[in-house]
Amino acid sequence: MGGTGTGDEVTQLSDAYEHPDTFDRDAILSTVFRDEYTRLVGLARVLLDRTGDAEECVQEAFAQAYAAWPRVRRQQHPLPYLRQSVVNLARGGLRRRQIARRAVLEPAATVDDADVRVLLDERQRAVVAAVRALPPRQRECIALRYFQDCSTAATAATLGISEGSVKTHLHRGLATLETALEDLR
Amino acid sequence: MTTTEELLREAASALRRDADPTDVIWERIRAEATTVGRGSSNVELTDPVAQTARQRWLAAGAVAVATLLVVFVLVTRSGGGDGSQVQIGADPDIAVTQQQVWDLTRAGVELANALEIESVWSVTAMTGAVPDRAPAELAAAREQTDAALTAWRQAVDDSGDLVASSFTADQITSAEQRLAGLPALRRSVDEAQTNPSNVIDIFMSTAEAVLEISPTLTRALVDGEAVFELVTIQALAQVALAQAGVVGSGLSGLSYPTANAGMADPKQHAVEQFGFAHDRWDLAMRIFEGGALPSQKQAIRDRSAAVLGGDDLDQELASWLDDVLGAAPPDPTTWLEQGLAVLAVYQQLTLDELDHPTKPSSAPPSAPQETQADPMPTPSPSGTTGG
Repeated sequence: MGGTGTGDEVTQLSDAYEHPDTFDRDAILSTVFRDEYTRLVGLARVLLDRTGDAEECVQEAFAQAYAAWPRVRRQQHPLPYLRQSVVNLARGGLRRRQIARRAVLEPAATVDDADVRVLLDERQRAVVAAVRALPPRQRECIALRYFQDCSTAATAATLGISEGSVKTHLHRGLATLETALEDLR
Repeated sequence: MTTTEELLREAASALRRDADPTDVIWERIRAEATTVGRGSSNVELTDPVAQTARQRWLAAGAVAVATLLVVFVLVTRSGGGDGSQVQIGADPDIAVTQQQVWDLTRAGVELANALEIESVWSVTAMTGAVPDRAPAELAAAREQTDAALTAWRQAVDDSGDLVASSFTADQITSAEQRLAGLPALRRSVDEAQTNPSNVIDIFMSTAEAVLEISPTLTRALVDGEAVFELVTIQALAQVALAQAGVVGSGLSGLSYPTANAGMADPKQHAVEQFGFAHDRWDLAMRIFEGGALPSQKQAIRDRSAAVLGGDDLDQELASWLDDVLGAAPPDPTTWLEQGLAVLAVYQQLTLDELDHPTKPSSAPPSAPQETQADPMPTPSPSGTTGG
């Protein structure tokens, strides 16, 4: 039982998934839900500029996987599908909020919403703010690598880009973060 | 000393707190997933390639389904639903009518394509992007539009009774009214009497008016396969039209201080216009995918990916407009060339569909459509909009 602990290509499938003849949607997805929900919420929280939406985003991803089960079950494990959903939903939500924010001339979002104040200390808030300030592709690569523990290959598969591009985005993102977080080290 | 990677992992761990996968949440997910409009019958609408809210997915699906229902009603009323099987080409009169539908649709698509390209070069000229090419390209685009307009009017004249119905005649009148404004629009472009956003809107609505004639022609078709083909062509043409909007609004956004000068908030306007264009493209693609065959969907994905080559220009532009730290605007020439290349793909795909074997000239008895598993689409998070 349980995920890989690395979030990477799944090497330790959940019990339900190890038996191909038990492709039971409820059993498999509820197991993956228990194993991976927390880490997926962590991923969504760093990708979204409003932390409070993260759980909704992940729940929507699970609902999509549930509804699209005939397609999801063709994959070795539902986790890559769920990751893609979270990244895409977060990106769509971000775009809409950015547009909406412009429309009402609100100041740019920061990371001091209530949920973040409860969850993070000052240093952690600064780290999340710096990650959220990265260009989208760098932010997603950093989030998948460090907040979801994805390998380069899994990150590339999730984002639909080459492994070389992932390495480039990671390198650039880390370089920016090195500078931005200099005072914290 | 703490490394950057350690800081990231520490923050990641903290962000996972209080996110407990409780049974209550799981039951809520299951309930949500099994509500009306979701489920295995709706797999296309719930695929993770979607980058927009579920509501938009459902809206797109609803539009596609509604379109098909209207088409079926029209087909039934025109005699195809009485239980008799009418083959393409089996009746000479029917074959002639279908040829007229195809000819008029092709003329409309070619006119829309020309208007799309002219809109992009008009905005390019207005914004001063690519100054060494814009004047000549704009002049060539206008000639192309004029030629396509002449051909379209000829096709309308040759359509006879096909365009005699009040519904179709009204659509043609509406399109002609839009097209009559073309000379004035061109003067506005040349004399910079308006802003690029208005130019894009007028070109888009003109092309749309032309394209909206095709759905009214489905009542003349009695072969279900031909009807579906026409619906697919219409949907593809709308994707191309939306892509032209993305390219134009992107160009306008890249030069928003001058392009939107005089507006209360030039940058806000640029952000909104680009967002709307992006959303329109997204909706058009969803409608296309809602009714297309798996092979058609795969063709558009393959060719889009080939053109895009993994570039993320639209994300770059969105990030720059949104003031993301470190984001730089894409080069206008690169944006234009890439956007036009993607536009050309969608336009050509539309024309290719017009040459599909269901077109009347081939006239074979329609064979059952080969069933084909729809492969899991390769997620292309930002790519397919191109721009």
